[in-house]
Amino acid sequence: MSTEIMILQTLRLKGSPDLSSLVETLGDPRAELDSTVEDLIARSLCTPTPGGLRLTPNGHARLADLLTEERATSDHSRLNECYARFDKPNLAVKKVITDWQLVDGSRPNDHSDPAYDAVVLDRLVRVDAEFRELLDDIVELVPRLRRYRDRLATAVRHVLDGDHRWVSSPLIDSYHTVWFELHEELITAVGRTRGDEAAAGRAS
Amino acid sequence: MTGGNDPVTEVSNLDGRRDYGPDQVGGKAASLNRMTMLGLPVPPAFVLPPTIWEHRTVTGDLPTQAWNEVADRVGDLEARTGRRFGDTSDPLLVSVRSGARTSMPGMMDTILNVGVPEEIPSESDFVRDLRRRLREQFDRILDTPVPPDPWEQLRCALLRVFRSWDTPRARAYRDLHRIPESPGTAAVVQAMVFGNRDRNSGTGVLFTRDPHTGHRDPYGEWLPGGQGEDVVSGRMDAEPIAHLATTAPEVYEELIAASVLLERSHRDVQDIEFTVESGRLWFLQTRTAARSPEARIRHAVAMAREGLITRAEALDRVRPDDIATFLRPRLDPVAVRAATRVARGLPAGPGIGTGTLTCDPSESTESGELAVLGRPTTAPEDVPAMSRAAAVVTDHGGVTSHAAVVCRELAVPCVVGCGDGTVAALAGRIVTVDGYTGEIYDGAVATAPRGTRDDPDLVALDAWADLRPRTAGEPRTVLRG
Repeated sequence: MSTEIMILQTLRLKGSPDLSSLVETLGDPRAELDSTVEDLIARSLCTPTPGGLRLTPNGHARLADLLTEERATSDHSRLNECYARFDKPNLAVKKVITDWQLVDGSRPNDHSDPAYDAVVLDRLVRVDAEFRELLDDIVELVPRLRRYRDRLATAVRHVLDGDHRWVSSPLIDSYHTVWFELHEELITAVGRTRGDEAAAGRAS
Repeated sequence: MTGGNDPVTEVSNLDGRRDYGPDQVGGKAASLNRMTMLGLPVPPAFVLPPTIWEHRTVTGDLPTQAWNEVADRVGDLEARTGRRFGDTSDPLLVSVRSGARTSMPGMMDTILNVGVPEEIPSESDFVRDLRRRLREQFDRILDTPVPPDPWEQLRCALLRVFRSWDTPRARAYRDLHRIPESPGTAAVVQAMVFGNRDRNSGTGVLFTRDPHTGHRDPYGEWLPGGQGEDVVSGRMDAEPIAHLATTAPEVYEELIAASVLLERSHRDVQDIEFTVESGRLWFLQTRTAARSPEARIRHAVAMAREGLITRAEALDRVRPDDIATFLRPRLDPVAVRAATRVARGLPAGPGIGTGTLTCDPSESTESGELAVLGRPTTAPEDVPAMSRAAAVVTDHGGVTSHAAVVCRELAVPCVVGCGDGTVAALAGRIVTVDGYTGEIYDGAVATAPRGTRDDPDLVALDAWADLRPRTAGEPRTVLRG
């Protein structure tokens, strides 16, 4: 069952998710999540809007406190080591996703060449398999990130079932969506900011 | 007129008495010589062919024989211009330019106004202006003061131009573009003409057909009272070429007549540099014009219809990319000409978007009108705002960045990696984002009507492609290409 920090962080990363996508991301039973969310609304940490649930300024502040608390007790040197190891699969995933979208880095992939697509998807599956060991190490250090194992696996399963939206569609928990949220989690966990990382060429 | 093939070993006048090819004397000299052969007014010039630099001494100097020939050829320039090199009043001044077989834009040095005499108290403002320009060039290019002796100026300039062939960046450029080391560069010495001499002077460029829209009409810019580098550097604002037609109709007529001749002789659209000195027209350069994809289509079809080129040549001059570009939404080329570019990045999501640039994702989500979302770099929580944006612009990131991946999925125009602080500087301004080229313009720039497959020029190309003999597997039509 999801903790407060997990729900607040999901609200932040998703911008304004509706309840069903929250259920999908967190993997909790609907009824359980309903009552937790009601509690968060009652405490003015989030608020329902026409677009979905959004963090309030209070919610942002509460999340920042919880993340600071988490960092205070985490193993910095091992986390930093994981973050350094993340660089390589991160570049590989981004390249695979871009090759899925563009042929030769410039021409939009109209998916008329099944052989080309098969090679790209095969690379995605292999990069994902190789990443599992590092993901286990990350989850050992920050247990609340365990859901990323299932979320990445779900995306891969849908892709292999032939639903190619699960490669990179930003509106569902596609491989790219989940990967990018995980990257954001890691940046937060090691106490850096996206701005610093982007300027260093790692997180844009 | 293809030029000869025998190596040229002497310092040679470019007076049109012999035909030279780019292999012998470099592209620049061959073009000047050919314009002279066509009877066009070209300032007198001579060339030091690449073979001369290949025979340089161990200390990197020219052989004595070559320097003697240079002195003789300067004598010929004096005879043809009626001015003396090194005179204190109204002397002959020359430009010294590189000219390899293949053009290497921006890689090689050019030195103008060589031969400015030693300072005298009674000299005119014009000479003073020339000395200032020469000092600036020596300072910038040679990193030394100007030698007082005009012959020493010429010697320094020639050696500098030859040596610029061997600079690391010129070598890197040749590596990149697979330009062979031999033949090396030539050096062209040409009598200067001055667009800044008086009120009846100026300088300009003329395209024989409009390189942006593809219209048949010539297109050009005219800078009254300017010297060549003022146009190229954008240091001064140029007038449309129509200005010359109004102020000096007979010069304009001569220019247009020559442009027709040059286009016919080169069998392609030309980009011509010219100068008017005291009402007299001079041609300084002509080359095949760079143009927009639409212009490549329109010009190729028009030239084939006029009989200037064959239909097969017209087909060869249109690339499949040109047709794809023509068929997609694009900015109006005339509006772009007048627009100010405020930033540039990597094109990462195709399309064109206009709106007020906002750096706050919540702002763009809640207002009704589409805004251009600008972020240093995008984060997961920006996705809802990105999906509602007219376009997305980022400071950091490449074509695999989050912004690029997401925008391609959402079909939102996107330009990434515009540089630190770009989006903050543009916040609150209305901008137009071209996700095809990576350019960002100030204000709302009009779009052009999108090209269609039943456009008469495309239909013509398609019909010609149908008639062309093909090899097996070659696509039957250009439209499918």
